[in-house]
Amino acid sequence: MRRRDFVKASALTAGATVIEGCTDEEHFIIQQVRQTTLPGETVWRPGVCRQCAAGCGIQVRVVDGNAKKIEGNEAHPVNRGGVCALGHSLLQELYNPDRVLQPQRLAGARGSGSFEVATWDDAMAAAVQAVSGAAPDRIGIVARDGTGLTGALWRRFASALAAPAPTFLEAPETEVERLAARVALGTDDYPHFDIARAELVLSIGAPFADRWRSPVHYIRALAEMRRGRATRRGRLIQAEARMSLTAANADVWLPIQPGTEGVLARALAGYLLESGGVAAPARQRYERLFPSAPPTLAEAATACDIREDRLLEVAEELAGAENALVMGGGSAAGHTNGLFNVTAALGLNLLLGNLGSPGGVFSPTRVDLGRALSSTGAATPASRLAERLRDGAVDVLIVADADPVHTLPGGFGIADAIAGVETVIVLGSSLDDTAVHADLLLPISTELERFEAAEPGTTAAVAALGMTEPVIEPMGESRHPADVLIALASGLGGGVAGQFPWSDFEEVAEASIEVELARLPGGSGADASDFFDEALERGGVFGEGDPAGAPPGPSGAGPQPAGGRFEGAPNDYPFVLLPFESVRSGTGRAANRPWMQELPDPLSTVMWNCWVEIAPADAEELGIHDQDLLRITSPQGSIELHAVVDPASRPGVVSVPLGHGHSGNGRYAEGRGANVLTLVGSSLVDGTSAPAWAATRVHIERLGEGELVRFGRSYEDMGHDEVIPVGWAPHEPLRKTNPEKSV
Amino acid sequence: MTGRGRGLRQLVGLSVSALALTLAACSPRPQAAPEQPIAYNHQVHVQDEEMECTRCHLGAETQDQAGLPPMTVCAGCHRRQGADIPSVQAFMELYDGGQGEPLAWRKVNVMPESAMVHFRHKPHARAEVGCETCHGDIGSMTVAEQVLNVADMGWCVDCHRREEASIDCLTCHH
Amino acid sequence: MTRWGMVIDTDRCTGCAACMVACHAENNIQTVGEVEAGKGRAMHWIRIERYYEGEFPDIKVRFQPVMCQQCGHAPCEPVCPVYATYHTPEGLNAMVYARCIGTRYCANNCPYTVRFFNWFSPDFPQPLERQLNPDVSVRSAGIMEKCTFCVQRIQGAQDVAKDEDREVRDGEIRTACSQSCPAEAIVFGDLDDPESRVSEFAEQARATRLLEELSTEPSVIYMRGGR
Repeated sequence: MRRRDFVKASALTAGATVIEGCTDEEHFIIQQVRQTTLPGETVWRPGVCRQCAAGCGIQVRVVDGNAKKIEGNEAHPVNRGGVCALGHSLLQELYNPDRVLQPQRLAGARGSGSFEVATWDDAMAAAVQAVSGAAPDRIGIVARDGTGLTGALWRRFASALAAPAPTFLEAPETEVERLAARVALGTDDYPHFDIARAELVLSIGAPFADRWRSPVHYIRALAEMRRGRATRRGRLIQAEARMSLTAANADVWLPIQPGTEGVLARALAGYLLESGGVAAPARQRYERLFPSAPPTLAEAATACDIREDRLLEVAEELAGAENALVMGGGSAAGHTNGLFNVTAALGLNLLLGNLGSPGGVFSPTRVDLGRALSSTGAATPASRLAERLRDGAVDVLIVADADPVHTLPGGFGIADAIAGVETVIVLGSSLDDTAVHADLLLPISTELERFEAAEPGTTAAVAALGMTEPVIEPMGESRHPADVLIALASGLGGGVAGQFPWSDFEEVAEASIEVELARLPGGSGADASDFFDEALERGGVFGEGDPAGAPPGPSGAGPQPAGGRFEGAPNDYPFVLLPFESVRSGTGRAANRPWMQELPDPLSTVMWNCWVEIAPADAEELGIHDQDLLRITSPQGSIELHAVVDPASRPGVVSVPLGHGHSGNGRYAEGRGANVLTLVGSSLVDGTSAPAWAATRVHIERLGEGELVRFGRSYEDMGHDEVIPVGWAPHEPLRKTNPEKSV
Repeated sequence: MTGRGRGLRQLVGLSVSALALTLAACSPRPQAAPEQPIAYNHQVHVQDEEMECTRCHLGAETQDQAGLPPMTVCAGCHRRQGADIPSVQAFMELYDGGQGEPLAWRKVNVMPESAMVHFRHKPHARAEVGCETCHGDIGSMTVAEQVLNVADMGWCVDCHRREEASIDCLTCHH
Repeated sequence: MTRWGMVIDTDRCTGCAACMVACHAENNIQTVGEVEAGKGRAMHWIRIERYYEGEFPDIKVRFQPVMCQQCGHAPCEPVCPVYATYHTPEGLNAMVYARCIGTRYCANNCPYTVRFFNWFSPDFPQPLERQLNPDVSVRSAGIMEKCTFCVQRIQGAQDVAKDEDREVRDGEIRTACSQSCPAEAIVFGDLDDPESRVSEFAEQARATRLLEELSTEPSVIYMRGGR
């Protein structure tokens, strides 16, 4: 028995050792028993958080076989010990009272949410029958993310079946940001930004201190940029239509007209080019990307609806900063001209001369363990899958750990189209908007209950692969989603089974490590088995040192400058709708967790509900008061939400958090708010297959008074006349006097 | 000192001792021993077989809880020993046929939940407080029972005072 | 002597609220639901206060995490009729749940409004209760609760130090909020130790305390400036 296997067998439950036999070897046995956990004993085990694509490393406190607390793994390059709100709440996914822990079979009309318990054997037999009975080109596969080993396994499965490539439900802007980076900087993925060592960060649309890409990583970097150096405090300028949490943390916020982000970036480039500080090679590279003449600051001021003097200040600051970098993405990537916006933003780095230098932009560093499975990188865009579903071209739909009905735009028509699919097989841990349409619901384990091998969706300074053993035993009959896939493949027999020669996911990981060993950080010359064991102990495979590798620069001409188009005519639909991720709701995965429901949004302070943010001037014009119930209508549909009259909202723009309005998701999520994506149409970002989720106009109508629960514990809310930040105004230094004598 | 002052002091003294008496009378008596799923005899194990407490109560010196032994600890010895004893037979039957279901030993010493107190064995072991200090001569008991009520805080505090251990409430109540 | 204190750098804090959930997880804080939360009964031992300054488009936001300030002259302490809240020798404003009879005088007298009353018996539907921290009492209905500076973690570190026959090292104790903070905005330590990181911060010109004019002598120090 290998040490790792022994630990696995013995350590999962307190005291559940399998050692027997006494007398002669008494001492040895007692020693063995002592090595396992004792009643009430705390053990910390490394894990990987998969609540979002960031893939932070965590440490989990386990007592008596139960997971008690999640903390950050300080060794993991992505988060270095920090954890976000969503990451903590993983424990309430694990121990959710409404979690599905046994295979379920539809027992009633499709979509009724009425299921009966089935055995795994029966459920898998039914799944195998459905898949083997379908024509390969009439199978659809949706999985959560395409990175790393799990993504590679789903690709391999699809190609073994000769079915269309799987659809991965990454954040919609991710594709746009990736493509823009490729065009502007020549990197194969979104680059690493060395924020911590920058003097000035200009973010055009990227809400990196909200829930975008890798929040813990970026928040840490932002704090370091400001207070990590004794010498100088770095500054953040945020150009974004909505006052996001990132904008709230900016030194300067440019509340830009939605869809004009690219114009701003181009005008700033024009200023830099004119100011004479740009070296000739950098100028040439930039002009290869954008050969046309950039707009002036005055033109940009009009287009972006920002005062010209403010733009000039920003341009001067950018030109004068020693280490400046520009990020782009978020809502800027969600407009129809998103690719142009983000390319223009990232292209500014060419002029700042920061490629590969401290405080600048670096090539992404990937472990890419999935390479070992030599499955192709192909994926079917969600928009294409939606088309197939609407055309009735899908007989069997497999959805793994994803909720396409909830997280894709209403205009894609998934909710209706899914009814026409013969068999829907969902691998999930709870009933969500997709799972209620399932014929078969197969319970999967959370990342704490399974072997994990997860690659960060956004790279940090160095390469990382989170890899950990199960932290606790799986709840109920839940199984590793990849193990379910492997079982499904072997159940199908023939060539498909031949492509999946492993018994479980851990074996896949071990085999892949062996193949890729020489390429992995610290793997060259190492013994594969030792390397594997040590990685599990540490919580993964992590690179070291400073970031290396300058992005090669533009690969060709960028997208043509274009303005954003919006669904809905301005006269009928006067407001631009910006959906966003609140730290309390994300994209909806955490809706049934009481901690997250009771967590106030940091800006609106709303708890237990969804809301729409509207500027005071707009509210006044429409006779809307705070908390009123409103109907919000787009060409695509209409929802009802309560108003937050928000002093920081840009007039003409309304914002609604994602992740609300679930049906059948559980006791804490039931009947709360509405899903803003039902308002979003089917427009795609030009030049990509990504949904243009920030390209909708809406009409607003007041329905009546309402009530919205807000978190009211600040001096403002306690009825003080003036908003005086507590203890702020006097700026008194700490009194060092003895309190006894100070009277 | 005036007679009046002495009188007052005597009065106070009297009331204090009266209070002490009352408290002693109210002092919670040991709780009755719970019925165990299988009769377990401490005397046989501790006196006859000379086993240390920590052989079975694995966390008694190193953890917050001493812990009741998992079945594997019992089976470790009883796979080979005591096969002729009815209670051991009953145990092994349960162990082999129980599909890993843990045997629900009932705790003899339970802190009331309302006390919101966290007794921790480890610091007491470190201070070399012997098991018998609180648990009495449990090694000679055939049925484990309380010798003093662990919910009697006065007894804890007395000892903490005597031994100059912390008597800050927060040390145990948090 | 030891005097536990905390430093919060508001220029690092982004208001991400990770600390709030970390605190719930560590301290078995129950959630109360929408209706009761609407009555102000949600029990966030640590909260993020948000302040707007200025007007659109020149509007600024400031965040300020606030928890029990563990006051040296705590207004909550003298008003408790049953001594359920008192000052420990290590500078903590202790809350002894078992003593509390729920008069709520302490909450009324707290200028920082960081004390919470349990209006209901705790409800952690199975299997949520498997997550509960065994080192922290689950409070029953009718008693007050508030931030303890994670006293169970302080004791845990002191216990380890005692095993190793040494003093607790600076930085060894991390409260749940401090551990979680992605921005490392929260630092915990001994204000009586001139070498500690908290002391180092406390001596800087950026250091202020909340409602200094009330002379409550809080043990939480806020680093100002920046944005």
